[in-house]
Amino acid sequence: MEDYKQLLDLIEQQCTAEQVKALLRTASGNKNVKVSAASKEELVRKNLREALDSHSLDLEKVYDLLREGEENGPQHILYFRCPHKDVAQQLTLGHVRSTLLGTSAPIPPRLEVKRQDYVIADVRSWNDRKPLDWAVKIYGHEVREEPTGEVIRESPSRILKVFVEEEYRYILMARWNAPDLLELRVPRDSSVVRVDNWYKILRQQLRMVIPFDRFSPWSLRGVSKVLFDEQERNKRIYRLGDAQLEDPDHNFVTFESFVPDSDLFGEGAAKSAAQDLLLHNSSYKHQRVIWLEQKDEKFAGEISCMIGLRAENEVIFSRHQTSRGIDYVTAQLRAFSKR
Amino acid sequence: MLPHNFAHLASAEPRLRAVFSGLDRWVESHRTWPWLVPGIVARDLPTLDAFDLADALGLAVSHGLLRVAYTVLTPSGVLADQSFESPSAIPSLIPDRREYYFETGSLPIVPIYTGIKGGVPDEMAERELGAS
Repeated sequence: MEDYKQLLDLIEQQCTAEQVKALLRTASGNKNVKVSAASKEELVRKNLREALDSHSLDLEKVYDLLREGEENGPQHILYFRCPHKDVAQQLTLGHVRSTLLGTSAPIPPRLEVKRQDYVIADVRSWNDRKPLDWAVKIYGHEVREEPTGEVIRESPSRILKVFVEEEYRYILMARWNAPDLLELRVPRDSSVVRVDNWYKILRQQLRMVIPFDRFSPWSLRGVSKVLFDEQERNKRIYRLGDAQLEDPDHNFVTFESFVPDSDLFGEGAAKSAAQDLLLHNSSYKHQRVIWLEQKDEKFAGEISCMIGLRAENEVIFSRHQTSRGIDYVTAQLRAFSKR
Repeated sequence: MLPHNFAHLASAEPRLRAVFSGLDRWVESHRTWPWLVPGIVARDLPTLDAFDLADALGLAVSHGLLRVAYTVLTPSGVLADQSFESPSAIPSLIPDRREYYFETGSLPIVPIYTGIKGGVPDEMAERELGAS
């Protein structure tokens, strides 16, 4: 019997009880599958384990549950485009796997982290709907000394500030979004230095397989302009929030709604001010877009994201999303970039 | 999103009928606002008595239509995009709308009202992620 302890630990940390129940429901009727439990711990440690032990539930589905739970937190995504068809065609899952892992056959994800290091944890296909897409996941582990705020005044000349060691687990991802888009995904963090460092780590780990010099940043500033121009006829798809424009004299004009995610440019003075700026050759710096719920796309609620805040090819999601939700946003950006 | 059916609460408290119908009108004209900010409502509806407005919002909370939460004014003067169950739950460092993290200690805390469905304060939503 396999030891699923590490997998179950991560499921308990990263997934909601509802997500676990939904997975168990897919196997209900099979031997040893029970959905109800008194606590989340029991649901994972007993119900899920028994379903796995009795082979009533496909292990790959449990890995998928963990992926959904841990990969879609608040994050930054940098987009790169590959205009060279020969390069893009070479980036198959088999090629990536054999270059990074030494085998083109699927292997189960590595769940353990390496202390103070970043290691490749998973190389896999993205989903059945896009068979040419793949993802590489990296688990990172860092130990940092964090201040507790406690101050010990040992003597008038000796004051001690107390620090404790805190351990952090991070997830970095690269996603190939065929036919030509590469996404580098890193967590949202209070330190921009750390965010930039994660991008560097991703590039270093993937440079064997991805020729970054053949890729160029996918500028989304033009997309922001299209979204502004076409908001009237796409009211059921999105609305626009905070934005910043740069005028030809390099002055920045920032628009911020008083409450987050409200319709800033739907009508009124803010819309006509932004229109006027754009008419006088101002350009977009950043734009918040609130994508409205689309039931047929299988994501719940609205998705708020910031386009172009720190880089022209970056999108920031400040709340937890689903994999389908993030893919929906990328697909929309792609569609609007072609207009 | 905010609820826009305050009028039915007037049957519970007829003296607040004008306030509830004012709230319905206000929500209708602020459909994309995720929160109701009492100070803003009071400015937009200056004919309403401030104490009546407070009573009406309190009644909406007790009827399960609204939930009280708290957020912080960011250094640029707009509300942060996270909300919390209580003032003490506000972390010392949170991001503003442009992802710059700022110290919350010296900035005003703003009480807000959220709709019950889909309006769970972020900090509560995070807790629910780990709940059974």
